[in-house]
Amino acid sequence: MADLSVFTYTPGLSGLHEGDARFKLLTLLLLTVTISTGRLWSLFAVNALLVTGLFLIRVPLPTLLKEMRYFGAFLLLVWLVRALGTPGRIVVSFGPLALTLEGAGQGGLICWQMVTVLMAGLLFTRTTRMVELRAATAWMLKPIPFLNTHQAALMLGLLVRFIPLILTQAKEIRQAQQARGLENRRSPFLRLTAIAFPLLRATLIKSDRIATAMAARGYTGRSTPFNFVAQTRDWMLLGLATLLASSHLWG
Amino acid sequence: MIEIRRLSHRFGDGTQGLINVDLRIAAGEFVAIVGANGSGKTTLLRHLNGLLQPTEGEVRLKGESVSRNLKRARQIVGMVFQDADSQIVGETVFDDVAFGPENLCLPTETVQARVTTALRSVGLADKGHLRPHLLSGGEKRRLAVAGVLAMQSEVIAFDEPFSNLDYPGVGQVLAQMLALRDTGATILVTTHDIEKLLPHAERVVVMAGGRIRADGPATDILPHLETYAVRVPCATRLGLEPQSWLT
Ligand SMILES: Nc1ncnc2c1ncn2[C@@H]1O[C@H](COP(=O)(O)OP(=O)(O)O)[C@@H](O)[C@H]1O
Ligand SMILES: [Mg+2]
Repeated sequence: MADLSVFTYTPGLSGLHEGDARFKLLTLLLLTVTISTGRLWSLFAVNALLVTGLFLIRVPLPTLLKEMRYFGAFLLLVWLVRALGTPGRIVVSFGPLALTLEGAGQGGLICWQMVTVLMAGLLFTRTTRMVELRAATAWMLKPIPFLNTHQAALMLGLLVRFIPLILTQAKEIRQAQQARGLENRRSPFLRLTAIAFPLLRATLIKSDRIATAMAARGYTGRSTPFNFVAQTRDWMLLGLATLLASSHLWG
Repeated sequence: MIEIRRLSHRFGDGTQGLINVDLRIAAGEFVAIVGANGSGKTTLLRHLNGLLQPTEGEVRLKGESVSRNLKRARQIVGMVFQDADSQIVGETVFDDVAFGPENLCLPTETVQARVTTALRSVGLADKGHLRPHLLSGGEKRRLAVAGVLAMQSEVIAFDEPFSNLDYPGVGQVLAQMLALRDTGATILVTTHDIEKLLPHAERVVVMAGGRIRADGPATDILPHLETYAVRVPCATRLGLEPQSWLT
């Protein structure tokens, strides 16, 4: 299982870290909209923006590449399916399969879009604390009637808290099983269950401990409200994202 | 401060965790609760702040029953758990300490002031921005202590605080406990190995099989410990004065 440490919050003092999470969340949504339209030049613009961001918060590139290797393999698969499955001018053919120019182009675009969305997500999760994310989500869900925003935000927060826990646990268990020679077993069913059941058990135990520790510190779900402070730069970021997202209306 | 009367606890599967426990602890006492694994120490602590509810009997804090007001109980009794990692709920050291006071719904400025003071008193003031998982074992325990301090708890309960700690870690945590005692806090420490606490604990409570088997000054209790499957420290065995782990 991939270790996704680059995607966890990493303390820092950049403008992105200190930015208002509500604006960051809105910007993320607007950028996703822009990316999904698939227009080349707006993709370029979004990329320029994101690369600047990645540079600003100093993402460790070797770790990023290493942890993204499975994602890279996945992208290659997506690209191949597109490139081989789209009719058009044939570049090379392998028996019944033909790689077309149009397919390669479309596949490339989709992969590029996925990488861009991932980069946007990376910037967001690396610079936003769980408390901020929770408060920003509650703020954004507020206009929706009949929804207990407090509860919804709480669920999200807990989910974010438990994902790294499960990943770490899975890694530990897999290593323990490897040390006992699990890799030598052929049956994929056996290999899977050998990890899945201890993982489930360990995760439940650990979750129970965390829940107890939270209760012991007076956790009821209600706490000091989060104070957002929006600055000029937050508005500027949002303005830029709005401009990009609406570009197809005027360009 | 703490008044436990005829407390029994039976778990869902029928295991009898505690049987008829009576215990009174005055404000400012430093009490070591010793016993073998499974003797009921953790179960006892969890009744102090209502994490577990009595099957029979009652726990009172400063005269009021714990189960009547859980929020109050959790503010009065701060708890430092055995597994330091699963106590961490914040993404930075600062946020983690802020978790408790935020649950008390204090205003942001008060929360920040309390966190700053708490971090300073456990010597983690310059680590507020770090990820808690990067701290050493001793530092994680001190972080948990800071979380309790920020709630201004009057009773601090440590569950097996020395497990998984190296020598410097034990020293750090012990020094922290003594500093807390000097501020007037009531301190309860559970352990299966009394040696590290010996010169400091005034009172020792021995548990076995969910019951309290002995309770009194350390000097009276020590010679009988082995009856209850607790190791007697070497120094005591040899008739020497116990030495502090701090020196
Ligand atoms: N959640 C539980 N369900 C059932 N039995 C439990 C549970 N927690 C503890 N016990 C049992 O209660 C007894 C006391 O446990 P505990 O208080 O954890 O002991 P100690 O902390 O002294 O090692 C043990 O026999 C233990 O197996
Ligand atoms: Mg225990």
